[in-house]
Amino acid sequence: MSGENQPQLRASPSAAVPEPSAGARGIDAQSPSRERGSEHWRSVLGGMSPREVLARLLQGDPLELRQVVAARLAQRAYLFDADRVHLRALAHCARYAVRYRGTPAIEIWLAEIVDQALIELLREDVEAEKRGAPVDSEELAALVDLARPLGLEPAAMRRVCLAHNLLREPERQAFHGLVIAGRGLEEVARALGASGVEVARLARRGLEAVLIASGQASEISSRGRKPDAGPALSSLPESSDPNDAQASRAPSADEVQP
Amino acid sequence: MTSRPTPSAFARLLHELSLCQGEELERALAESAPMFARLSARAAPRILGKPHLSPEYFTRERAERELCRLVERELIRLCELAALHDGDEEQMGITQRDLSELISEELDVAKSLGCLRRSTYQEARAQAKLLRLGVCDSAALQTCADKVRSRSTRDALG
Repeated sequence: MSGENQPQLRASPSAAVPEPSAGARGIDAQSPSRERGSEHWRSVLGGMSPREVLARLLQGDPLELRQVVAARLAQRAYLFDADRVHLRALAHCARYAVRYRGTPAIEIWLAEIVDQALIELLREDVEAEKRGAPVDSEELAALVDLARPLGLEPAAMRRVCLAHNLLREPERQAFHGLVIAGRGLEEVARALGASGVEVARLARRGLEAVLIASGQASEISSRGRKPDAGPALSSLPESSDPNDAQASRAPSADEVQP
Repeated sequence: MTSRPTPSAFARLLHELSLCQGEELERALAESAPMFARLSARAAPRILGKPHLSPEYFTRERAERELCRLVERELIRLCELAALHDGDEEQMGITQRDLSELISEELDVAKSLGCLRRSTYQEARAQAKLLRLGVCDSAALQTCADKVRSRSTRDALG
């Protein structure tokens, strides 16, 4: 069945999870590497089974998906294991390549694929945290580099990352820009179009979210400040129903409009 | 040689920053920039996604397993969509015929990857054919979804 004839199956994502495509069109469609990707997508994605497409995608990253993953992680200011996001995006890319006909532009389609992977992983992390499922050992290894210098237990990092990822985007941007990307306050303020004080206020909410999620926030509470670190896990939706699950499908080319 | 920040130093800094407000916080954040920069350097490959494709991680086997899981999740979603709404096209938001084709498409991929039991595959294929004919056996579709989920869960635990 071709993508052109598919019905619109996507439902609104859960309120706790941001829209997948916001900002996807803001990527640099004119960069040389993206231009090269546009020329080559047919030879990578065209006329093959998902399994074959997957094999091609693994041979030297011909569509430069890794760059798209890095760009979307930075633009959306999420904390994830980039390899995990990349792997999920690879699967989506291979699976839905058959539906891609060249519209929208390949760089936008790839950004949507990565965004969809991010949304799925965020949902899965919410569910895993609610179930109290142990962190996957490979993911744990990825988070050690972040946990150790922060002085946090690696095992607590999924919860910490989840708390960060569920913050409002400006708060994520401020914390991510200052602490994770290591940019200066003025630079982050310029990028966000906010004052230094406003960025600092936003970043503090990110700090509080990290500390609360890691169980190091007792002193904040004891000093009388009411911690307000975004949505609590207990307020997240229960396990997804089939209608909600409709949103988990990767976007077909026809659903992704520039 | 740049001295490495100690874990406790970071934790203390984050905690102190979280207690500051206004200009005091602004100043403290600016002063903390070098320490954050060192953290950023460590986080670059796996957290920021800077170009770093480990051949040990991105193996064909692992990628195919991920694709399998994607197909399994989609099969579960589609079968449960039909089962939940008893094939009511309006409630499903899709015709039974189109749903049948979507399930068949997933099954084709599943077959090429060998990620379903033969019996589950055959049962799901049969249900897809029935859907195409306008027959929705909700119980059987739910059973298919449960079987796929069961295998998927076992693989994840394994």
